[in-house]
Amino acid sequence: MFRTEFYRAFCSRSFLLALLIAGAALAFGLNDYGMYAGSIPDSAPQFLFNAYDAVVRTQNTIIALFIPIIAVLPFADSLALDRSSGYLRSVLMRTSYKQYLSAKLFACTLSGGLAVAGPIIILFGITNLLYPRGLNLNEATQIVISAPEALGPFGTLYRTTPDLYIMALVFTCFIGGASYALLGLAVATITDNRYLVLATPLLLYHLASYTIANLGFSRWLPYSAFAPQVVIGVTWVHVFPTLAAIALGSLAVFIGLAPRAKAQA
Amino acid sequence: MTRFMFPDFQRQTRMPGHEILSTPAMRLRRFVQVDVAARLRERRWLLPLLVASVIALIFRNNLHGATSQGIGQANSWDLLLRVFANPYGIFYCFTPLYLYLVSDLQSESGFAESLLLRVQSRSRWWFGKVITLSLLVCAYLLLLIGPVVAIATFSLPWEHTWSLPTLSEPIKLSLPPGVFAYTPASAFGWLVCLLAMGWLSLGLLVLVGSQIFRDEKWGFGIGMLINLSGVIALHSQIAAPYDWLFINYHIILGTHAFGDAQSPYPSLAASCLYWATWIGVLLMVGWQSSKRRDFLRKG
Repeated sequence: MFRTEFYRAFCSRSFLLALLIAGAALAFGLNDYGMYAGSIPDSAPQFLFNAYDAVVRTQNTIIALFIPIIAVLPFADSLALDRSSGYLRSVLMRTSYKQYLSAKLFACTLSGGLAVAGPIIILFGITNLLYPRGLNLNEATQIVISAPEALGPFGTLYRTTPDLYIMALVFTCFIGGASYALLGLAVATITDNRYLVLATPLLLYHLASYTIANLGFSRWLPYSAFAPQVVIGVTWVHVFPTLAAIALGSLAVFIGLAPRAKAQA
Repeated sequence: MTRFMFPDFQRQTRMPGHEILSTPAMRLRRFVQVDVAARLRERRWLLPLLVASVIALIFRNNLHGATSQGIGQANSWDLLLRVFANPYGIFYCFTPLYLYLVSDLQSESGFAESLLLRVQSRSRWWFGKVITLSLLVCAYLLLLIGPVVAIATFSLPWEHTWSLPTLSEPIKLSLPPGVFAYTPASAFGWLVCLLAMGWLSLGLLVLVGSQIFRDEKWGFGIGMLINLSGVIALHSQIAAPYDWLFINYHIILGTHAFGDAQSPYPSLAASCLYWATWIGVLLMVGWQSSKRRDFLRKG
């Protein structure tokens, strides 16, 4: 069952589409960074434009607006599809519902996380080819503010081990993507409408962002998990409890309403 | 074909409620009634009430904070304009929510072909959908404005003039000084007009997208993409006259000239013309594509 679900999640047009959307959004951001890099004066510091800043700046652009849709696209609507198409009934003849749900949960979480984190790893590879590997620590000419409090939960790693800092960003994006994929899966236990499954996490993400921003709690913005450099002072307290709340809440809904989903199959 | 399959269908059809639907106009009216009622009965249509109430309460508290600083007393128009003239509110909150609510207007869960048989014409079906969408835009506006008006009425005075805090800091309402030549009521009226036309245009785009791709997810995606292009254009410096092509110049009240000849922004009439062009083009494209739509094919 696990192999089938993983195959369905990763070898699908939806996963490819999610990667394409993430790739296009990252390309837009990288192009934005590249436009600045194109006009470097001779007197500029050696690492004014570098592979690490390119990732940080690119991650701060429009991709942060798309994260939930990238996360839910690969597999979150599959439960609704299985139920409405009658596939679930065929599956239940071959395996237990518990095993089916476990496989679904793991496949959905992993595919959502990888759809968000994977393109950023590829982006880091590309920026390593395009820009020098080094940091510009001269605060007067920095493109990305290198103070730890301006770089999010793992900001202290930036100056000492920038590769590890980028990997920490990728890890955060993976956790975030997995959380939103779980949210989509939770919506799929409530409705058969695949459109609602895909659109609801994106809508909630934007509504929550707008409301939280107007309440004045900018560090708690959902964007902070994916682009912690947007607001100064974002720490792990602002990022991980929020993501954990989304993931655990979604898991509770999924476990609580899954029997109802079986009854409707 | 219909006459062949259902010989007595052309004569008269009895619907629940014992209404005899004999004329095309009556059939269209019934189709729209059923469609609008089905949409508004969905629980997600309560979201605008909730969202508008929460945002109005947040902005009301902010206004009280400003009033306590001693600039002067804010009035109800301040709250209404702060909630609805805010570009971020339009792009991150109200438009995504609107698109979320109307994007599956095309999907009728296998019911579409029977509806088509009842309205007896693809053109009538399409224009029925357009009328439904227009009514849903009105309903959405009412559901958003209603709670804000209620909260404004209970907490702030209604006045015919601009308040002192607004006159001293128009930037807080995201409005240019030229808007003060209008009364607050007429400025708000223009804002509602722009929002209604903009949302109707986006709704039509979503309808046409869903119809062409036979999938409401694509319609929603296209709508969100256009909304996002507005966000990007809002933060970018796009060279004139191409900047006028983006929706942010036409849906936000603050990005209008208000009679200032030197302003880089369009006039209110130009924005209305812009949206009217969108609506006209999309009506025609949707009408043509509805003629070729395969109603029996799902997804």
